[in-house]
Amino acid sequence: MPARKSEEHPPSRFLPADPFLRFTHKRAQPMTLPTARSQEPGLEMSFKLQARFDARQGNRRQPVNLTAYSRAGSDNSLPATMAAKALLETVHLEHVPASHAIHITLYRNITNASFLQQQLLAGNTSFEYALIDASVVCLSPSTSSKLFGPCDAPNITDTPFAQKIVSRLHVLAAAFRAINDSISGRLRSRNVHSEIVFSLSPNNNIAESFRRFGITPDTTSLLIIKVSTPTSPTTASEVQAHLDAEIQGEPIPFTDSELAQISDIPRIKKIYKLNNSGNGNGGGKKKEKVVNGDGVNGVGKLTAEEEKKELEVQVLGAMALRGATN
Amino acid sequence: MEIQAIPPLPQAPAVEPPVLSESPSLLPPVFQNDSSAPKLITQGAEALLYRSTYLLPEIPCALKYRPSKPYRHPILDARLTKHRILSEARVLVKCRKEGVPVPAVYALDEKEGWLMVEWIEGEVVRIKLNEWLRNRKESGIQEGGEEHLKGLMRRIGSAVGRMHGIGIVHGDLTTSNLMLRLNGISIGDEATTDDRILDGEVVLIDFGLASQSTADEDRAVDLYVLERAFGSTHPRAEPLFSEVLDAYGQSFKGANIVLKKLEDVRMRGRKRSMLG
Ligand SMILES: Nc1ncnc2c1ncn2[C@@H]1O[C@H](COP(=O)(O)OP(=O)(O)OP(=O)(O)O)[C@@H](O)[C@H]1O
Ligand SMILES: [Mg+2]
Repeated sequence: MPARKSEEHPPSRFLPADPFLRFTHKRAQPMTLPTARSQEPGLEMSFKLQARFDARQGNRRQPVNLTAYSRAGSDNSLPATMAAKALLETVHLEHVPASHAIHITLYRNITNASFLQQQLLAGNTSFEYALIDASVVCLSPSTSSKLFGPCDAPNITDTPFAQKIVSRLHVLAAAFRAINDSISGRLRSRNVHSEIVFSLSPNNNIAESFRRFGITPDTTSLLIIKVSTPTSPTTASEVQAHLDAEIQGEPIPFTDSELAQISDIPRIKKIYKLNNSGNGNGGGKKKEKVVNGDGVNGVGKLTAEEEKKELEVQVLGAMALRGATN
Repeated sequence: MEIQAIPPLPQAPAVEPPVLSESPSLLPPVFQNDSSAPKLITQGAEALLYRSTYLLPEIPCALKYRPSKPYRHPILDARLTKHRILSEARVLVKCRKEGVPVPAVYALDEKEGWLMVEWIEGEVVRIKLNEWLRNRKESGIQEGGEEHLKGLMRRIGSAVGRMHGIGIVHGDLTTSNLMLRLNGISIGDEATTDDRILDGEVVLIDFGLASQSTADEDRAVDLYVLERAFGSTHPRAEPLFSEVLDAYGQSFKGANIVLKKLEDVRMRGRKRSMLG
């Protein structure tokens, strides 16, 4: 693997040159520190799975030191030794046969998205992954559509990142659906990996789902999923080696807190046609919590955490239904 | 004017729970891989309800499976199953989006005939209400202490009203299709043994017969079915049914017209039973 220094990355056409600036708008909080880990279920899960993976690898790998990725300070670059080691985790979903392991990893500051997309378009089988765009540059409507087709949220011009993934569960739900459809011989797209991308869709339009959720030449944050199947079994170390060699970007842990940093809630609501409960301007009916300890209906507002959970389950519902009108 | 048929009255549930046949082989292939088989909770005429898990072991879910009926024509059967699964899911998704308290939809497979929804930690109103009524009887309470029951009745009325307000009718409103969510109410808390039995958020479940309708007639029939369910299953709670209607009347614009319509529906129901 060629050694890379962060200065070698050509600055993206659409972003502030200083990589730190790209994240300041949503990165007010420091990265979760070890003492607080147990409060973050996604993160904890990732540690467990990482541990499972490390165990399988016979502890060949160094345990991942997450504090190395802290973005509390202004230094946004990674220690050179860890620059491209994918933070791969292997998940086994409920009801899915043990033969279908799911390898997942997340990157940001991707610099070879165009190359990766080419491999998909060319049908290069060694690049059979679900390559999900976890961030896209969204400029003014006209510029954006000239560059890469119509933007889903033309009114969002002040947000450089428009991320469409809510949480880990959002991604796992898509994987579950795709694997289930694959096993029952009901794939609607080319293979289980493209089906994962399609499974994120709130409707039946396959081409639109690829455009919306798939990798583009301008993708900067990238979610990569590889499903091991009985006909083409793939081990975590094989995936790890391949990604380490081919992905030019900065690995970050696949956790709810990482995803939350770049989630674009208004855009997600728009894509999944969910009520805009933003500032309660008309239409959107906010779900209220009914507290009725003593038989009287007290009504409380949802906390931010509850609101996020609510958004998540509504996205899951929209994906399950996939616009079915029956 | 065409007079709509009144749906059959809900039957009083048997005192003994029905014997559940443990036959995991009935489940679709995807659930045959499970190391611990989904747990059968109820076996209805049309559907089996299991407690299972969604994606991760720590996320419980309710799995509703509609097995194919060998006596139905296979094509018709597949079409019916697909229709019911999608229709129930669609109504649940709409309710959830509009803030009506129902389980969230997690996943479905209309071809295999299953629907996975959020597991509601709690119990159906029928059981809670019977428990409360029995406790009262045993401790010889005749008067007073009815605020808890009143409160529950009002919560039911406003939940039903919110559902009607977004254009959904349930089609099978019984106290077995209303649950009380035990959020943060710890089990073993001595409060749960008496006063707090009727606590919890009212959650509407079982939308297998639901449809989209804003017709006052359909809404009134929903209320009538619920009223008769109280009458037959919990006669001692029936006098407080007026609380359901009162809270319902305040729950959405147009609710009072439905309450007027309910009087017609009751009248027809009575005539019917007189004709025998
Ligand atoms: N989401 C849920 N969480 C917890 N328990 C549930 C949930 N859904 C259903 N149950 C339990 O399972 C029972 C049966 O569920 P449900 O009413 O949906 O099925 P059913 O009456 O058999 O369906 P149908 O009337 O459509 O044939 C409920 O009375 C309740 O006890
Ligand atoms: Mg039922």
